[in-house]
Amino acid sequence: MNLFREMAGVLNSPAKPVFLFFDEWKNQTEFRQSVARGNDIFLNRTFWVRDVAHINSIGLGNPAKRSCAVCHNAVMSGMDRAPGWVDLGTTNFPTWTEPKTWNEAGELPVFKLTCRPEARPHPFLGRTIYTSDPGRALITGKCADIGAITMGQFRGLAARAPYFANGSAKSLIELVDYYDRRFDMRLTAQEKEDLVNFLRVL
Amino acid sequence: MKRLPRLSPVTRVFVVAILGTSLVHAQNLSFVTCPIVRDTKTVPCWLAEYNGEIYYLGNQGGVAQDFYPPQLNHEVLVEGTIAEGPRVCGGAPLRPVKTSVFSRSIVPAILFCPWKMESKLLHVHPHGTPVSWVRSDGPSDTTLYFDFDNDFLSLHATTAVQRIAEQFQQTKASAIEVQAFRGSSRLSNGTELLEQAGIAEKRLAKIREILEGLGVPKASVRAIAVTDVRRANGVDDPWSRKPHYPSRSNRKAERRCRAIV
Repeated sequence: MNLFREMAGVLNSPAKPVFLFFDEWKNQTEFRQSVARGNDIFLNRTFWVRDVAHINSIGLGNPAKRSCAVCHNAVMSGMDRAPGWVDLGTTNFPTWTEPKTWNEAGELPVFKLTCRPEARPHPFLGRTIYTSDPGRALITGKCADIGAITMGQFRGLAARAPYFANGSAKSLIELVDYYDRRFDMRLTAQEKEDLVNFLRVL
Repeated sequence: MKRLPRLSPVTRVFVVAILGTSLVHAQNLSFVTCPIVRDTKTVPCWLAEYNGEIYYLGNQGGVAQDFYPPQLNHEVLVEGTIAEGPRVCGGAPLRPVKTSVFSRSIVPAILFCPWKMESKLLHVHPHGTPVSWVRSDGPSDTTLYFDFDNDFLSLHATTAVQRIAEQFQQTKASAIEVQAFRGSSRLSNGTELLEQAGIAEKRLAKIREILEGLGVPKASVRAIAVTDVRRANGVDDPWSRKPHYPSRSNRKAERRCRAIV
């Protein structure tokens, strides 16, 4: 895919959805109906995405009222066409996914990273950051890249637990729960189940 | 960020008087504030308050649009012109407007920007023609206008750099000359803000990195960092960059980056 030949700024358009519409499934079995509802949530349910480095800091505004598919936008894979590196906060205090880490009861080490005063800080965490994974900063040396990681593609997701780069979500429902908490999506139990079912069939 | 030396009381009165006169006619505003996001029935809109008035900056959009929304919890420099027409999203529209997000506090009085979200659920309609911050004067002369004190490149700017690299390769040009500048901004209250020292070099480095990543040989990029600061006038600070080669005797340091193939 050549990013510069794609239509700029058109993500998840009706003419080119991230995943094909599941409209045909809406009148089929109960499970398929659930999958179709989950896909609709993935594509269309907006919520306030906030404090995600390389999403909210690249001109989209912070917060940005978006849906899942805006970041997971690559057609038929759910990856991010650009920028590709994102700090969702799964590895950084205070939004990381392993709440026991800071109590030293978790399995992952915690690093305290202090950026130089002249460095451009991480847009939402400043220059002193506690993280279990410095992410892209290990390559670039940039403070703003601490915690930035690439997102995995969605195909075959059900067979690839655990989830997130640090494996902190043991199941798809834990993954959905994290997003629900992180962005205050206020999903109902049924909506969470629909999303899980949708992610299971990809 | 450095502040210029304080003016004497007499000079200060003079400057304020001159600026006040120019503001009446040109309706230009430049101020640092904490932004506000207001939810609507469609997409959120972004506002800023100054001297008791709410100004409309723009709507949330994609990275392909020219207006890039600011960030809550971060100070923003707003440089704009009060536009005629109805209020949008409850604010007096600024058009054109350039918003520059600060990653560090530059105004001592504002140490923390509160999270200002409002739900009015208004209908919002696009207002006016966006201003492009990329200017091309011919196929081989491009000027990129940066946000204040920032080396961030918008999608349009990044695409423009790609076009420069393509032009270089297609025409088999011998070199790409890139000039980068350090600028300033005069606020409506008379305060002049300088971009950080070294910002021109940072902009150069970023352009170089992209060009080289696109296959332009390192030796073919002639990079010039103009470190003299162009003094701001509070009227056209984001737009006063004139696309010409600065001569040695009349060098203007401006907040832009210019690439000439």
